[in-house]
Amino acid sequence: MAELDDLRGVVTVVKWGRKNSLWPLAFGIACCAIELMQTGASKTDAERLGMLMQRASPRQADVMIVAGTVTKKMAPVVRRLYEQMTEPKFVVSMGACATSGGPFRDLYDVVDGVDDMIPVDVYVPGCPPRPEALVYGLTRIQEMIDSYYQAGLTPGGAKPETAEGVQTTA
Amino acid sequence: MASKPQLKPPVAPPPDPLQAEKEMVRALLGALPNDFMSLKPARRRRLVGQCLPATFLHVLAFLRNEAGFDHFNYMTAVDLRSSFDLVYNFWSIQKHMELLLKVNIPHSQKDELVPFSTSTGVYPAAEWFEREVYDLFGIDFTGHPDQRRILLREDWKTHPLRKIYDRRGSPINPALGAAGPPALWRTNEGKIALPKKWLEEDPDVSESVLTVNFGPHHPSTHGPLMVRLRLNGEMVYDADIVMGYLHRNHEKLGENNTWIQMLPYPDRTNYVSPINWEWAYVRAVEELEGIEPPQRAEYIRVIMAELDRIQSHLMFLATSGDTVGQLTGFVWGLRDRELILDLNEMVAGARMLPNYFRFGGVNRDLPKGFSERANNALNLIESHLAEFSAIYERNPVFLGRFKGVGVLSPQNAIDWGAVGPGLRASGVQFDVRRDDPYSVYDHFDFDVVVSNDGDNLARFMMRVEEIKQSISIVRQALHGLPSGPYQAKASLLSIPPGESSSRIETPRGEGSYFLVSDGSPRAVRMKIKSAAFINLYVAKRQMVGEKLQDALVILGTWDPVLGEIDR
Repeated sequence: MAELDDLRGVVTVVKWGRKNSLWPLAFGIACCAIELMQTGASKTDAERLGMLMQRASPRQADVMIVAGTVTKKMAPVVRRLYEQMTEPKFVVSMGACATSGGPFRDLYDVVDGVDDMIPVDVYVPGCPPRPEALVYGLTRIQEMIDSYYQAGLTPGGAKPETAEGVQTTA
Repeated sequence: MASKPQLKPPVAPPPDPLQAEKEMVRALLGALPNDFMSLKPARRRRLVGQCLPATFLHVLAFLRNEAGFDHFNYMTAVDLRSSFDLVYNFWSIQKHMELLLKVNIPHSQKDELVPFSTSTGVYPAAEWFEREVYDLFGIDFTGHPDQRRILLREDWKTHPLRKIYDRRGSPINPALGAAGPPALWRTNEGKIALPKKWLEEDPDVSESVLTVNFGPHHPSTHGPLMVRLRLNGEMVYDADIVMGYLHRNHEKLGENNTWIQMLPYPDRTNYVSPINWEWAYVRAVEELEGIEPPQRAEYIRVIMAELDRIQSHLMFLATSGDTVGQLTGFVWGLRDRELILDLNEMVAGARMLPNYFRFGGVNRDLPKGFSERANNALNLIESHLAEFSAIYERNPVFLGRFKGVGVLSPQNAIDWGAVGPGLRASGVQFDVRRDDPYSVYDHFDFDVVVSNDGDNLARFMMRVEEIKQSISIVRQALHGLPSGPYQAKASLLSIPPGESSSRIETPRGEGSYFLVSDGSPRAVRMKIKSAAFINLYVAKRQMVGEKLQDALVILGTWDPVLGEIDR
């Protein structure tokens, strides 16, 4: 029993670490990227909550914040970056454009929502969302990590591997 | 007490306000009597003309070499369903005159390439504009040095700005156009064509050079932008820029939305300086309607636009720190920017994209206590500028990367079409606020800052000095703010038919909207002339011959904003 208790301690530490050190991918596409930068800047300073230490490489990141309009030229790049991230990984769709196409919906080069290509965990509404809204969205990711562990699941295993109806790159 | 009647001075006949313009028209028509179909002054400092396609290159060469129209502003096309109007816009830096020249070429309704002669031989700055027109309209510029798609994917087959396509890119009549976007866009990145020059290169050369890709996801490119550099050792041998990763096409949207529905979109065209772009759109519509906003509205607009310029330049100070690894400056720039975002919120209700201007005025009056709060914010920003100078221009590490690096000569700056602070850093005096004054800028006392160095440091310092000038303009405007209405009566839906082109000095240089209206609630054509687009072209030309590590710093000093470049 002692061994199992030790393991439980390890899981608790992993959960605590995962929850309180989200490493988002520094991935700004459009207008929302400016608010993403402001969220990390001194007024809001989301890094003090352990959630916005941005990484430049997808291999070091576990949260992708899609901040802006995804176009059909950019879509495969978003998809590939998502595939390059290590499990467990989470996606925040920041703003109206990434959620549904927003004000640019139904235009020939615009993807009507990034969930067309990758699975999204949290949608943050707004055009652009205020920094406080983004912080709230990232807290939801932290709560999600909590609830996964409470249900006896690991965050990576419970999520679908690929989005429905999406062909993987040959 | 009866006052003594005053003696009136003899009344001189009022000077003709369009005298210089009429002289220019006479000179052009005298030299080229058979080439123009029409040529007349539209307003002060603007001529509008139409010329014949056959002798078009002859006219262009004359305009540039003899008539002094040395600065290529933009070119675009208008689809009139059975013909194209190609629109060229030039500016004479010496004579302070704009020329809008049109050429009409017929086309069949079908989506086929229409040949026309390229103007890149006369104006090198036309290169990317012609690529854009080729991409979106399908006009084949014979003799173009590097004609390939610029904004859309390579595997796109159609030309979606033609009138035969709807906003989704599908043909309205399937007999005329092909199917829309490629089917595999979700996963297939498509082929990105190499420049023609690289393909035709001597094999010995291509053996010895190394091609390095940056982006589209890279922290130094200021957005989704791809830079391809060919390196010979450490030196950049040739550069290529792949854009269009944020191509949403506000221009097609302008043809599908009503005039008033388009009001929030200029904010999103350039999300770092939204208010200046609102002004560009609103002024173009006001010119079509022929309305003058009241004085108070103009003053409020100047205040908001100059605050907008300050926050945009603060963003530049922040990101140029980021480019050279100076993260202190990055955080400080964003911190000071918050002060102005708060003012935006106070005035318009939204922090970043305020959507504040309306046709004929502004959305609402300045709130109570705005003046004090703005003055406090300006005082704070002014005192922080000294701190910035301690970590930037008095920092030997920073100076090593910026001083004497990336020097641009005035002649190249004009030839390649540079605008804004980058052009002034090379010693060319051109600021729309002074040379083609709009609104009430002639009421204020401010300097157009010019430097003769032309290097990275000059372009950087230009922004610092412009922040100081803008602070002074805002203070003067707050001091002299007249009372009265803040909104003139303006029509929102029925805009009279015609054409208009606004010119605004945005923080990145001259930005303009070219509108064509036929009296219906939607525009026939809405062209956005982006300053960052042409400045990126200058940066690309400038990178060649520099070191690899300097190339991205040079790119950063032109302050690219991808929303404005790709539109």
